[in-house]
Amino acid sequence: MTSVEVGELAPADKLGRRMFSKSRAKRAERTGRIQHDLFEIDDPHKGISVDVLDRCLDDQVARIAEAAAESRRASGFYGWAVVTVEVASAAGRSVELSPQLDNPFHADILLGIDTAEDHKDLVRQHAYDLALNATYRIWRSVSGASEPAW
Amino acid sequence: MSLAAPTPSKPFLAGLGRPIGYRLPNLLNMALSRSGSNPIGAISRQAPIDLKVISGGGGVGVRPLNGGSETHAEDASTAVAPSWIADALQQLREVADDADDMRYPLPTSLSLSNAEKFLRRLSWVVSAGPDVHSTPGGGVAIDFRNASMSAGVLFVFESDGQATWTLQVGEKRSRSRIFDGSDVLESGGSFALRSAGLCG
Repeated sequence: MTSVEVGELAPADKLGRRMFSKSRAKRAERTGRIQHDLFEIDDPHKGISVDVLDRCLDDQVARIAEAAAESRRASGFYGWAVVTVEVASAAGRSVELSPQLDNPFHADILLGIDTAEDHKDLVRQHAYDLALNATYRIWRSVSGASEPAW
Repeated sequence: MSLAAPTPSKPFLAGLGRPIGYRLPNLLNMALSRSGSNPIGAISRQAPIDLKVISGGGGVGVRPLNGGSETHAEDASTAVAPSWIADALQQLREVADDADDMRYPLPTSLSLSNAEKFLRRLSWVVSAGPDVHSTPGGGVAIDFRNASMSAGVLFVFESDGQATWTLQVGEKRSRSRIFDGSDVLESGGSFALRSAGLCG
């Protein structure tokens, strides 16, 4: 992997949560809706893992995602649920660049949750907020083309 | 019927007025009624999940797969069921497949049953249909959205019989957990739907 400098994030920058379910991707393409559980995480102290998009061609990030799909034995990689940094940083959340050896475009959406009795419900609220504001960016590896669903 | 103010077990209201003292429209009151006087009467609220949903002629009928007689909404009421109920019930029937695809635990019969009853009660008071899907905890999520208000209400029927509702209206948020998942509407769920502009 060549070294890539993502640089600072701007409010309008796009962050993509990977979609590994074909049926959910089809549903998102048909309805335009992203389900909240895509953003729901078990440990509220860990960030929601996302890719910083539009810093290079989508196929470069998609190749990383497809490798991840293979390693987790997912059926494939079908695109991203996309939110802006502005949305991701709302409601007490923050975004932190966290480049990894195999993914220089990696970032985390941090929920800023302290230990709370109902953290599960709070995580769900954050997840729903993100899902409501997310759009689906389709990825079709067969054609090698990437285009917004609308 | 007058509805007492919702008393969610763990209320968390941020940026929204307390759900006290609001008036419910007739249809919502009727849906909330447990006396059987609501227009859903023709479609049994106690019907099992294993149903064949049929539609046509503007009404929705439900036929038990065991060969029981078919009933139609218009048999008992002049009101016409919204077209989304058939699709929502179909999504509910497919939620186990969705869970399998997502590698989630299969939804429990309790979560499925609560979700089904909830959908049937709401079918006459909410005009836009929900998205129904599985959750990581073996529950069922029912997601109503109102794009014109950047709003939505997410109901989750948990595997253990509890439920949550999560409301988002623009930047305003609210949520609640209810220990008896069959009481979601009475425990603030109706307030959430009204706040999101999803029913009268």
